[in-house]
Amino acid sequence: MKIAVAGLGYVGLSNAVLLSRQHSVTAIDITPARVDAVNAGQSPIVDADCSAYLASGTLDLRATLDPVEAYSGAEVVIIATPTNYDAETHAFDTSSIEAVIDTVRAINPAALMVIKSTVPVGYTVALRKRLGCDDILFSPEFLREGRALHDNLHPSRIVVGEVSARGDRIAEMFRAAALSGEVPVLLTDPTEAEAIKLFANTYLALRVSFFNELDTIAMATGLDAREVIETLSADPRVGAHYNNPSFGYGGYCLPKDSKQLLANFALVPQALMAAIVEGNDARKQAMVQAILDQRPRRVGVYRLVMKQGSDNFRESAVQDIIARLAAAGIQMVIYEPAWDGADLMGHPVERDFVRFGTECDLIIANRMTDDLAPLGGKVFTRDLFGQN
Amino acid sequence: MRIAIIGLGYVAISDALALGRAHEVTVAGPLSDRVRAVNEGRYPLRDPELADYVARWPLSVRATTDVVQALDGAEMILVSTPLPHCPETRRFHTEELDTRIALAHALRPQVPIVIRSAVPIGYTARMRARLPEALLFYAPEFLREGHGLRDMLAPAQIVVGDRGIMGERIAALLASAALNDTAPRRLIGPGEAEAVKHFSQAYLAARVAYFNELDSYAMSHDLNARQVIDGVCLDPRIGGGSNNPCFGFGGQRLPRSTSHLTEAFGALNARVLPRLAEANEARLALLTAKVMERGALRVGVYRPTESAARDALHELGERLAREGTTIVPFVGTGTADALAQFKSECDLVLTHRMTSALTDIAGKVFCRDLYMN
Repeated sequence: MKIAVAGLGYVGLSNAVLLSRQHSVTAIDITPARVDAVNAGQSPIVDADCSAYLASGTLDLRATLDPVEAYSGAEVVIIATPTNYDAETHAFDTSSIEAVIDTVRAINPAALMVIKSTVPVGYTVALRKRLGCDDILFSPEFLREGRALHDNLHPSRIVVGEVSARGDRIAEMFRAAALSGEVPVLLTDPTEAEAIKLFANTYLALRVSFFNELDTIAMATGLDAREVIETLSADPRVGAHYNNPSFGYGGYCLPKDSKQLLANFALVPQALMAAIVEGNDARKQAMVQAILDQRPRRVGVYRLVMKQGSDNFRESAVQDIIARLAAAGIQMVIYEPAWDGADLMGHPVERDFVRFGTECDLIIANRMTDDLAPLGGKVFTRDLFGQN
Repeated sequence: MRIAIIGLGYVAISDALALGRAHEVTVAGPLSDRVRAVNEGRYPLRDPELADYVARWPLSVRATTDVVQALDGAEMILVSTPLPHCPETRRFHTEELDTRIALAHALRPQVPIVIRSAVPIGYTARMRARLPEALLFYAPEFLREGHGLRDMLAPAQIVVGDRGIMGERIAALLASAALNDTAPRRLIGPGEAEAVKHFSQAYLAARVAYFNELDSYAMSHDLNARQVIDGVCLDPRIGGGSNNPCFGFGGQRLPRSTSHLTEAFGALNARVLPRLAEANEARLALLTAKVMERGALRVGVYRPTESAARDALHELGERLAREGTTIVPFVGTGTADALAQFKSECDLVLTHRMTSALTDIAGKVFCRDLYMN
């Protein structure tokens, strides 16, 4: 089958690589550097599996800047362009999706369009009505940054937002592209599929917040948080995963999705949804207080990325903590090998790890690493289990 | 070993039955009806496994109203007393537990006392300070109501709030109650053990509240809640179980633990734990509005069995009554005629879970049971 993929961010690229193992895929982006990278067999994003597949030369994948080349003759167009959500105004900028849809319909009106971008709940139904076009489906992605292709090859589930034969065909296309044998497939109505993503991510935010609050309470009362969490997690109803305390939940999805979901509740009575959003802020405040209590002269910030193996700084919890420490007049030095500049958020970047270790009297790290082990006594972290 | 158990509730009885296979157990409490029932082999548990278990194993379980007699010769004392919880002050009343511990210590000063009730965090430390000579320990139970016996016989883990040699002894005793000694034993600090108990209840409360709020959203936006929950729970990090919407988390234990954490730590930088009780309130506000939209004048409240504990169904009934609705209660143990009468006189029937008794009037049943399991 001929498939077009619009957008070469981590969602688009991982889908393009996934599907080009079996289908003829043309990917399109507006950034020449990304297009050139893909055509040169290189990954424009940090993702070990994407890099390996692109380098292998076994994919039927081409990238282009030209919509006619991309969309002509494509049976399916996967739309994975960026949509920005403004958490303050609750406004969603979906213009990139609509631009793709207009272009596709002009070039290839027979194509079935599958939106993988994050969209507001109710978007697909409203858009179909507004455009008078039913050939638009939504299928949520459940990818983790840095592991986008891995998660596409081994999906937890495949959800397609239409209970129909063509919905089934799209689900089957993704299922057949996966390496895992048994992948649960769920066809839902369009708005339900959009809501699944938000409710799944907000549940994960709840889980992170729960263990972070447990940790805040343990810090305040002198309880051994590790003992409490390990014992609690041995209960199979709780489970021993996603339970490692941190400075707060962050990354691209959890803060944005939980805020968006809260805004969507609007007049629907709730308490937990607001608590999940406010709780993250409270956690960061508790962390700032705990750092200030140590009366540091100069604080070293070890990495801004949320997780090991990611190059994404977006909304990392530590950025908020930096801003609050700065407001409290704390001097800071940042160690972030993934950043080329001389300073970050107005604070000097130190490249020499040894010097970084000696010139700071307190080092804050969302996650503990082997590098930091020799500096043990200076390190402030709430990473109890040494894992993401 | 001779074991005395002070208490006649379902934790005490589950402990007694499971330990009674290998030990000589005496349970003691002031309820003479219950004491008589236990001595006649009628154990006050609703567990489905009870009859088979009692038929299969010869047990040494005796009950008495005389605590002094129960303690005589005991080598280990287990105490599980209901801890009344005042919803207004959000405090546990531990006075009765205090008294029982003090009495046990006075009568048998050398004998270890193991608290099984879900005491507030810090309780064991406070009681140890008050009775410095006492051998006082806390071993949390993780028994589900209605499955207490099974959970004692096949525990997921054995937790004792003592990291030393006494912790090992108590863990060994609890392991001897299990049918297979395969559960991992975890010896942790006393405060940590107390905290685990409450956090474990709070986790479940948060989960129930979350799926209830999802359901509130779905009801308000005309979405198929089950599709959304299915899609969410296919994420293995979220998983199935405890995801069927209801009127609010209830029973005795979840609200108590969430309320305790709120009271004890409400001043800290935390938002989720202190808000769990409010989540129940929000849920009830939505359900009240949704029931009122149905325009029913006489609303039936169906319960499968009599229940003394207040729960979300009670609260919902009261809220509707305040709005001028006539509430007609019914307990499923009533006669067929009474049930038929109940069905015909109510415009709408509220039930926590769908039941075969109500399928013939499914159109006028209001419940949020999406999975019917």
